[in-house]
Amino acid sequence: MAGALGLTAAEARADIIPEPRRPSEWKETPPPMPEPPPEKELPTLPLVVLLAVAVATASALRLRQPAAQVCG
Amino acid sequence: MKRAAHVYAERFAVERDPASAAQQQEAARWEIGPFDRGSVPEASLWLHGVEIETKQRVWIALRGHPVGWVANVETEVRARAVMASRSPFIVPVLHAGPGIVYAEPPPARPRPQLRAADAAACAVQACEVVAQMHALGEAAPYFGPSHLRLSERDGVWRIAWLLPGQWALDSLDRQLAERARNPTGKKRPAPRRTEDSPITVARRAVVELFAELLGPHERAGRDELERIRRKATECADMPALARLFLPLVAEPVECAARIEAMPVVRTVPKRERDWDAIIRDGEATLPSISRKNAAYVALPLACAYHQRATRRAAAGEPALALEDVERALKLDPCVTYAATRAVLRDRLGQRAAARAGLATATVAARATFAAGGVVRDNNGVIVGTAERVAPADLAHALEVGGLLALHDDEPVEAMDALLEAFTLAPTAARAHALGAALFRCGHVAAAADYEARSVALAPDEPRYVWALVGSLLRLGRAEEAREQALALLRRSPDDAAQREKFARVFGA
Repeated sequence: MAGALGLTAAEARADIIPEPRRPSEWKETPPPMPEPPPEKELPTLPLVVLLAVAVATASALRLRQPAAQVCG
Repeated sequence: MKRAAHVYAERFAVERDPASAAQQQEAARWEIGPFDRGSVPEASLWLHGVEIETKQRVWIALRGHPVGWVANVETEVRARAVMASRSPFIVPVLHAGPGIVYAEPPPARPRPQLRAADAAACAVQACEVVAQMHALGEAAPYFGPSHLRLSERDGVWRIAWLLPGQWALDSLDRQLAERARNPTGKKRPAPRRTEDSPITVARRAVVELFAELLGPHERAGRDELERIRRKATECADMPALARLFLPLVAEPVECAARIEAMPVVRTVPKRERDWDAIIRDGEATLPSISRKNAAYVALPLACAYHQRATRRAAAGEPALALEDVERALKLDPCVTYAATRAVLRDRLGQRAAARAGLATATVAARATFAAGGVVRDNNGVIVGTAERVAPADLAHALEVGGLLALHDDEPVEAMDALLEAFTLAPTAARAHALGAALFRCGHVAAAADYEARSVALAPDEPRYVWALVGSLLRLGRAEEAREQALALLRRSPDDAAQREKFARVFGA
């Protein structure tokens, strides 16, 4: 084949030698990373309780309103 | 042999100039090619010689073109492990790296026809070697007659396995076997690549070795062969397979003791690479090859330095890791290595230098990425090619840069880098970090969107879930936040820390 193309065997080989590359099998361990972003400060129970109480109160008020109308 | 004009590795007198022999071996390997097409005499794959001190005859497999450096150095590292095993059934390796020097093995062919007891003894020996190789993480030794050879001494047969061997020799074996199966030489479809485990492949190969060695008149052995073939499929490891041959061997007590001493390997472990040895070899090889071919060693060598740096960083040795990654960058200015250098500099308290160096590398990598590996002159004319930058590599560098900016309390800069990183290659960690940057910029709804994507990509990561919960609470979507936290608890019901956190935020 190489002869048919007028190439020496070495020249034919030179044409098909792959480009240099970084071997993928030598990337087995993921590189180090910076620390992740610090965790957010979450509101703790009292605020949530207040919210819950507020929601519960609002619901209760809405429930009482028709009854008051009936009574009125 | 006459007094040697040529010496190899200062220990071996050889028949011819090693440099020209290496060229001949390389030419023979090219002749064979990757598809088992070309045929060459086996002798063309070896340089013969003698060990000067012991006068022992040796066969030498030399290194070829630098394009094969990675394969060569890996094989030589395996050869050193084989040397250390000192098995009586392995052809002694006398020197490994560069090139591999074997003690002269017995002739490969023809395979002898043996009594059942001898064939069984050889099969047990093969099991022992395979078990040892599996324990070393060596999954697939070559089983062909050029590698798994047999010798006879004082009427006792034993195997002499050439390990780690040469792919080219195995190719010649396969060609011979194919010619025997298919003498007409008509083209047949290529065999399908096997998905079998290394244990299954080895089990089958050892049973076939036994069948091949069994003399045609060994009737009892033939009956046993059928039993062994049936039972072999139940064997989970090589000692279990070896036990099937015990009823046939001449000295069952001694043989049973050898079997008990074999390592029991049911899953071949991942072989840890010896990066120190690879780096030593690369540094020694690099000056000896031409500039034109240097990249065949420099690029993998940089990879090896980066792997060692990664391990050193994980072991809490950032200064040593930084030395490695600096060398990697000298060999190959790859943006991934620049990102690692930035992380290490940051760990060593040099955040400004870390960010500046990474910014320069990222700008260059972004330009190369945009150009698709094409280099143009000022007039836009293509004048060459450059190493392409993979999207994942650029995204990694951008992510590192974004995180460092976030730690420097520069959320806008972090947001830009992390958005680009996530767009190039979305990951849960990038979505999470981008969410954090957006949150700090006051874009809470957008933060919640990306945090939801991080949770979708990695639902079992509590950090991502709690970040989303925080944004949802800030947005007043308390019920959604509670649902997300509850889903986390359902996925990890035994995680006390998450339960406690849930109770602190939402009550019982």
